[in-house]
Amino acid sequence: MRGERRRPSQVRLDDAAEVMVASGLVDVDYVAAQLGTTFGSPLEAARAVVEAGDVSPHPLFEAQWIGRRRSWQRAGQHPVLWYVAERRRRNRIAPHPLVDPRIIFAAYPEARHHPYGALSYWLSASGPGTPLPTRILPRKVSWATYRAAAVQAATQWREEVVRERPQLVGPTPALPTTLGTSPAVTVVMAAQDAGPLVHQTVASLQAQTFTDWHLVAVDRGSGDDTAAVLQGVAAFDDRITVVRESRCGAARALNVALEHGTAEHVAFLPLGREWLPDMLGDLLAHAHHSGAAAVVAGAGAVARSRHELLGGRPVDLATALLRRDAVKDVGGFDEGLDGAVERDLVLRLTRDHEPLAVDVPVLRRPETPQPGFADDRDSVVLERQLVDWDAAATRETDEAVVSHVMPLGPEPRRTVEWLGSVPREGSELVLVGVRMRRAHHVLAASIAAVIPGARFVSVPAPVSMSVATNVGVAQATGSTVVLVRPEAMPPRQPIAERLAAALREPGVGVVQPLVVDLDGVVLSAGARFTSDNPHPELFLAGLPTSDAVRIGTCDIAAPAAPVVALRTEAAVALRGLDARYHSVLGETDLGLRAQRGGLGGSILVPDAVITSRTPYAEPEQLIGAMASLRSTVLAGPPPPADRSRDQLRTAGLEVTDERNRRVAADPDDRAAPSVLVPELVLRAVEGIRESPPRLRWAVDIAAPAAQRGDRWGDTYFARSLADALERRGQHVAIDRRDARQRDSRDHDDVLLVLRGLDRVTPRPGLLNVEWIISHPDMITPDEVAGFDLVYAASTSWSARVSREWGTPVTSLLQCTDTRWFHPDRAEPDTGPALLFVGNSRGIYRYAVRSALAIGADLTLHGNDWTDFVERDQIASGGVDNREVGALYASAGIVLNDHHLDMRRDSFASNRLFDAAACGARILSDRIDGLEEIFSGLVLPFDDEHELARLVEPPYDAFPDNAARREIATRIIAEHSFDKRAETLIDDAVRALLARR
Amino acid sequence: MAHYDVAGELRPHVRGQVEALAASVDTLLVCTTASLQDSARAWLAERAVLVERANYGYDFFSYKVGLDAAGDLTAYDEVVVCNDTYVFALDSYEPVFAEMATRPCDFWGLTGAERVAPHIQSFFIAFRPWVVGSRAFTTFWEEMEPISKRRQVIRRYEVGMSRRLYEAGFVSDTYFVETPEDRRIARERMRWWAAHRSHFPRTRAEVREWRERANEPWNPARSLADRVLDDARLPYVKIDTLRYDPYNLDAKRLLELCERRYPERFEGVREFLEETAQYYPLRDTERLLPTPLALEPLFPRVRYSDAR
Repeated sequence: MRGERRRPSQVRLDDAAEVMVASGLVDVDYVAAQLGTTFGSPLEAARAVVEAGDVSPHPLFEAQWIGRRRSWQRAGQHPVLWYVAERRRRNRIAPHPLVDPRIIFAAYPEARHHPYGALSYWLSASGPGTPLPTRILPRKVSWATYRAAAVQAATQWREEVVRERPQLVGPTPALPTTLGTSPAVTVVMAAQDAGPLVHQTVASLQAQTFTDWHLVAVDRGSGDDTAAVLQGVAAFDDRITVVRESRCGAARALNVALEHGTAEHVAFLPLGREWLPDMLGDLLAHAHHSGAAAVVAGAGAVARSRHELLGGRPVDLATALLRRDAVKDVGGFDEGLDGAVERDLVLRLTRDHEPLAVDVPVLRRPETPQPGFADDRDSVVLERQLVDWDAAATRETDEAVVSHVMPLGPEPRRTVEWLGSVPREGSELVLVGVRMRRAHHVLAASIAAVIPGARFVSVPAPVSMSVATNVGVAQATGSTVVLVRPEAMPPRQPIAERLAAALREPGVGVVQPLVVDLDGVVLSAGARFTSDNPHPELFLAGLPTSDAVRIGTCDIAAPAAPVVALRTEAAVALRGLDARYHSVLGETDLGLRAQRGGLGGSILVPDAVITSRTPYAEPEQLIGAMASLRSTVLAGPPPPADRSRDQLRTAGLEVTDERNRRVAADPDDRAAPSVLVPELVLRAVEGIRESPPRLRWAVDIAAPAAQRGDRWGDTYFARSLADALERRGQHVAIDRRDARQRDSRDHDDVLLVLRGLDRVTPRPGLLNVEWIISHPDMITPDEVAGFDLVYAASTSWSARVSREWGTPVTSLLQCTDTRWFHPDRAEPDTGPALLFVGNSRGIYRYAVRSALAIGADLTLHGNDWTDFVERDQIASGGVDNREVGALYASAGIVLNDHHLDMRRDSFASNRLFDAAACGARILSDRIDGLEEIFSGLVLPFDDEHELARLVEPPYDAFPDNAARREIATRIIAEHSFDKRAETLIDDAVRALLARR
Repeated sequence: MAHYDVAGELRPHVRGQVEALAASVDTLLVCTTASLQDSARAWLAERAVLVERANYGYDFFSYKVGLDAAGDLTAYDEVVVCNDTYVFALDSYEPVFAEMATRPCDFWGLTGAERVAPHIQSFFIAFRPWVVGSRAFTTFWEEMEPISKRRQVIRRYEVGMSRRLYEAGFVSDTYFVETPEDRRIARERMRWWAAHRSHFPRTRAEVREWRERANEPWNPARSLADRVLDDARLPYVKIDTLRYDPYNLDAKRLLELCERRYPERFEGVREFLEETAQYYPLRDTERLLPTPLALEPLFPRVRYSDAR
């Protein structure tokens, strides 16, 4: 049989529970905490896990973390079974954010062969004091500490979220023969514009078996004949009183109706609702029998207790009976609210009187309409119960701490990213979870518990993101609070201190960083308002970040960002974000209120950059939020004057026109809800005739956006070139691969493609320039023909291609950044004897291979070398480009090599120029023109013997220190970025002028 | 009360109607489109406020003119519009008003019908004061324009009036309450009428059409006209019913029975019908086929009769 042929190390995988126990991936206490029970044995717990479905068996195994589209769902397997069975893959898969298999394998190479995978091995090999195999925690955390936190988090989740519904009280007791008052019940009705519903609704009241009621129907200034119809009904029934009010809110009408009532109890009958004939009598009997202030017919989804009310279950006053004096004691309905008044009243009422949920049959309740994105009234009401602003106002805050408050989104990975990045000395992270799934809740709570400075706050009610933020603000301990939305990615460089510093400036109330999208293009630099449109526009949206940097720190009308910072005391004084806002524009509203309240204006800090994973808002969200914001904008003094024209001029852009852009929920449907947002029509200021000529450059590089592209050589090269161009008065934007399609390129004069791995299509209307600095093999005649100017970093290749393809290609060699590379960076021969700085790029590079083959004393800095050389031979994973110069200047010999095609076509790498500018002795593979360019600083080696000879001190083949210094000075003069920038500007200006 | 007479006269049944109304209301306003003879004018002026106007727009436009002329309508407990197209069988409207005062409704009529859409028949409608003051009521009359087609007047104004009020949330009631027996005979008479509206069906489509017609809602003023003989449960007979016998139910016999039962009320009706016959030819849409031979034995079952 198949099973018998298995090796002993192989495992049987037919019973998930047994596998769980055998692999050690079941933790009895943890499972018990999640399920709210106890287990006698691990197997019992494992069986419970298999049966329960969404329960994690172990604090370090979370199926939700592994991902959604894993094959266990298709195969109907238990995730643990899948994990231990996926031999090849599980070695790479992290089953939990705090388990990094790479660390386990590094520490225990034998873990690769463990029958149940890395985690199982680690658990068997580690004790309570072993630190968790992870790098995301700021300090080491022992397994026992985390386990205790996880069990605690699971217990709390269970207590908060998994709650039995209260039992309904029944059956109905007998109604006493004498009741306190007559009429015994005042039935309250607030009617507006619903005449056709009157007769049917009142008929169901008149059909009640309990007849001693008094209906007070208040017409809220209906535009139709509701009042007349009510009058007609009242003309034939003395128990009905009609009160006519001017147009007002439901709360006001209901309060008026309550004033007219005299009965001990009050019931609510909205138009359109109907009662079963025994309803009133049954509720009254329960009320008399129990003496409860609030009796609710608890059938269905409606809230049966205060806890359920806070949990967001619906409120249905139409199937409730309240004691009138209790309603009066809490002040009746809140007329300041224009929605959710019923929930608000019941929440206030039930503070002192727990409602009695009774088992009385009710007619099917009407469907609650799907909430849109307009004002979220339920959240406003719930916020009153969840946030104690007065207590927050009296709390001390720590001046040295910046608190980040972030409501959690649906993705656990984003939560962990923030947890792993923010909490540091002087900053605090308050995560607010709103009714999250178990896995996310427990992960966030348990990880936050083991990170100092991180806190997890759970909100059991379905509130808007604004309220969730406010819950966090009220608990922040820092004196500066950064409000973060979950779509914001953790900043690559810490920005909290920068934002806090900006807040210390006088007159500054709210600070927002520059928000870019995943492509690196500006998403928002605050909100700007025009004098005649209450809707804001996202300032600088679509422009490159360089424009924002050029404008610098500036005043904005209000922030519009997934991240804003303000003083905690200001946030508390403003009562946080307005709870009405579901998601977007809450910060804009906050900024306007801060400015109106004298707490300071809003400013943009463009050198603090935040990346947002999503567009600013979905159209529906934006339309709803704009409706909410409109009332704020129109209610008070106008927003601060729009200064965007002047600000844009600083960036070299002028406003030629203003127009309105329609944002529609469905662009194809003309009748779909929409808003008009203002939009500036921009044009670049013509700088070519200025002296010196000023052009707008878009430098296109192949590096990807965000962190991934930061370490690419192209990025460093482009940045140095851009700086050189900027020093000559040019306006430069560096567009990485993802930002290539940005529309605002049309404002630019020159598109300079630094040809890397991608072929770029020239943009019509611009001067298209291509500089081929690498990968000459990928270039075709067709490609270069599309550009106005083509440069190549090889003299020989340029000449050949010009000759063969008939397209002029000018030689423009690579160069060096003289700020970081010059002979004064270090004393010669004080550093490593033989130095190589560079990433492996996945190949065992010729220079490194040769040096190690001859047993030279090589100092190696760079990434991805572990596959080829021993770990102890790698000096570092990479050196900051600005520090490399010092290494070069101090080294005995600097090694260099080229890509195959670059060597063949003699594309001298920029490392040669960098090292030569430092006056280093350089050994390189052979390319044409080394002697002409580097005058003896670079010597070629063709094989290992030659290399072995050349690397031996005293390096007789190279010029002496003084001569090398002289050559370096010449290299600096001829091959700097500044020199290249000059060439590029001259050629571009000439070409553009020739076009006119 | 809207009035019209080809000869400008006040027929005896009209005089009876005016007197019955005048006796039961605070203010009677007669709006006539007839060129009244002096004697008729003088007689009317003694009993009612008289408004004379040119003859266009049918009775509904007379209602509008009359309502406009009546001043503040909300001052009255009830506002009634009616016309002269029926013979009222009682001496006074008091019993009708007394009965309807107890019925919880917003507007009412003597009878309602469901043809086209449910509505109160417009030859007599009473409105409670809250309806008179309502937006639906006032805009209905404000927006009214004279129409020259009878069918359009029925559709837009007679049916439209009730629809407007129903849509605003008002409810109606009728003085005449149909009994199950009424409904049975009315249904039979509709079948009888259907048999006179088209030839004996020969195809499936014709059978379907025949059946649909037989099942159409009835007009109590025609189908149940003889309920006037049941102690005036239905307190009127429409002149059109007597003149055209629209369902071929022997209207002559109905007139005879009425004359016998209510001699005073029906005095002069026969002469009026004869004198004005030439001005009211049979409408094409109401022309009937002869009774099929096979159905003749059924005639005694459906014909108008003294229902007591």
